[in-house]
Amino acid sequence: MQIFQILIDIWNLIIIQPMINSLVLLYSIFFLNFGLAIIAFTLVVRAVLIPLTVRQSRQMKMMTDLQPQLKEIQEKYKNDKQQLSRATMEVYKTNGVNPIGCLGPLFIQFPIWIGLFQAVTQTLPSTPERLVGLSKHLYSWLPGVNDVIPINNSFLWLDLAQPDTLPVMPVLVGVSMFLMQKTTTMPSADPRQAQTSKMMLWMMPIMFGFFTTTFPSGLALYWIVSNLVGMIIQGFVTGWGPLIDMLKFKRGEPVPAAAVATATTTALVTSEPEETRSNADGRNNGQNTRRGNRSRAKSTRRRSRRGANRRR
Amino acid sequence: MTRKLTLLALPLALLALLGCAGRIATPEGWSGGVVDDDTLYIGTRQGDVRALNTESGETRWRFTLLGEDEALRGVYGTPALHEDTLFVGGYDRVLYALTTNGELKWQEPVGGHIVGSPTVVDGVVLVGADDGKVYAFEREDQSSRWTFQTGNKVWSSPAVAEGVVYASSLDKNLYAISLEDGSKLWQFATNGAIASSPVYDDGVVYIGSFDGVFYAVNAADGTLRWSFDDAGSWYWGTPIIHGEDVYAPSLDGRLYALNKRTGKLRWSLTTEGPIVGSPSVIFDMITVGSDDGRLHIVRISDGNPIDSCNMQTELRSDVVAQGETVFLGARDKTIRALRIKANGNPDEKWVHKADEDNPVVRGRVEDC
Repeated sequence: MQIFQILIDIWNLIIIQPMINSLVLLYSIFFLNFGLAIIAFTLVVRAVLIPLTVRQSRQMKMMTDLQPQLKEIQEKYKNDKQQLSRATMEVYKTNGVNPIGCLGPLFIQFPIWIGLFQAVTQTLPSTPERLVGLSKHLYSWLPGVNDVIPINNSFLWLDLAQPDTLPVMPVLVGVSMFLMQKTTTMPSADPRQAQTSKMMLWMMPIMFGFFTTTFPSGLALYWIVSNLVGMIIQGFVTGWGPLIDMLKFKRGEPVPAAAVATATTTALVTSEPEETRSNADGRNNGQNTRRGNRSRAKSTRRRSRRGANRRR
Repeated sequence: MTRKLTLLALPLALLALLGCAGRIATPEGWSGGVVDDDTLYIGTRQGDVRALNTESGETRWRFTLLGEDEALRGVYGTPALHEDTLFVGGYDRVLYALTTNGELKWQEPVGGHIVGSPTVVDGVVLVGADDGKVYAFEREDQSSRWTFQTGNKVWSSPAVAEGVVYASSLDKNLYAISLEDGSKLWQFATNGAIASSPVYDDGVVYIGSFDGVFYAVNAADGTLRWSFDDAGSWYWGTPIIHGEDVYAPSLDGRLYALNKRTGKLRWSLTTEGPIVGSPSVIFDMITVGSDDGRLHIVRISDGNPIDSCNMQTELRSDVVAQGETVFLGARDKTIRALRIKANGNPDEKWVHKADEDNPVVRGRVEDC
């Protein structure tokens, strides 16, 4: 029990208190508007997470680049799962890829999300108990923090300490997450993976949209801004191809099935941009993914035949 | 397959963690009690008000708040007893008037949650709410006499003296309001929100603020008489006046004893947690509860700790004393009675567990 309390104290010390004080400080800077403070805080968090994002993106990129090779292995050892597993790991090892390496940064970001949730609910106390609790977390040496309490919860039509009474924030969270995923599409040669990704593409926005109906709208605001910023960063880093594809899709142009496969979990759970591309070789950046997939499939077939000829 | 499971597990784990991190807070309440003869009237964390036998702790009656949203049925303020009527401010946004038999005389909805205690004087019931208003109702027929709008939530209890109402607000101001017509007489600005209730004594209003400063304000014109700014955190609990001193509890975990005329610090008691409730005088001692789970007993003359009782749960309610017994509510949903001996040693009399069918437990707390 005492260990549990120590862990809570450590958690509060290194995560919750810095977050709460940052939010309060930003609130005092941004015209006593907590909505603006959350937006500014989101930008700061994104900036702090850039090293993680880059690492994650590299891993994702390498995974993407290995897709044709992995596909070949799958074809080759489709009847020998043990050999398939061994060969797959060998490919990862040879290319210096950790198959779950992209998940590491993701796990690191979990505490940030949970901490932010707690920080928002504690900075915007809805009950006297919470306000008393807030007093324990404020740095007495930080000038002005005590002077701006209690925080004004209002932002636009929202009470940031409470869930949105209208369905607006849940819808915005769901839509922004969906778009964020779409911009971070990663083609998959594995149909099972493509199917999973497709499922996640729809499931996660719906789930988060649903949970937004019970979470403080301040957290929903963070998610929305984070997703939007993520999309913009992704656009600048890897091009606007996926977004353009989406627009084309809306205009009635078909989108290839393979392009639906997305780096869903990473995009959603972290809301971070991944340096993933809609083509395996990275050369058709910003271009039609259908063409990229088709050419990749052709080259795969060609390599396959060449290999067969050599074997003959 | 493993990858698929991993993909599914990640968001689910995140959501589970978020869920574990807590949801929108629900009010719990920290009502203190008021004693009349052999009955203690006190709000509980079960969303009701109870009349308890002060000797045995047994329930005489209970009245459950009527608010539609059960989650809002909390009581923070100490009920106010006036003649044969008990006034209770509910977090469910309703002011209740009950008979001393627990029957509802009237109820009056207000525009916000009530956190402070009602104040009754000259046939008027005053109460603040978190819609920023101070409400004045006629005691007998509950008709509204006036309302006074402040700039933020009113979580404190109004004080009344010589036809003037003193009310504080989270908008950082202390207001003097005419009891007759609700007009503003003056206002005194601090640098922090005010959740602490003002106390009037001999032409001076005492109040603590979130800016960590304790103020003595001239009641006549709202000018500052003195201030004490050594606290490390906010003032929340209502100060009390005893003799020549004012005793101010602070969320920095200290109880400050200040000379009421000069503001000079006489002594301070340090506890291990914030002090939210108001202290109480018993014999030549002061008792106060703290978030450190202890009821502290100190000598008034020099502030030396005499003893403490570790109840292992946060103590945020006001402490009320009658004779040699003190009563208080605790965060573990209990109401406790402790006999304080003349030498300062506490001895637990009974524990009323509000969430149990047979709520009374007798015996001693080990650390008492």
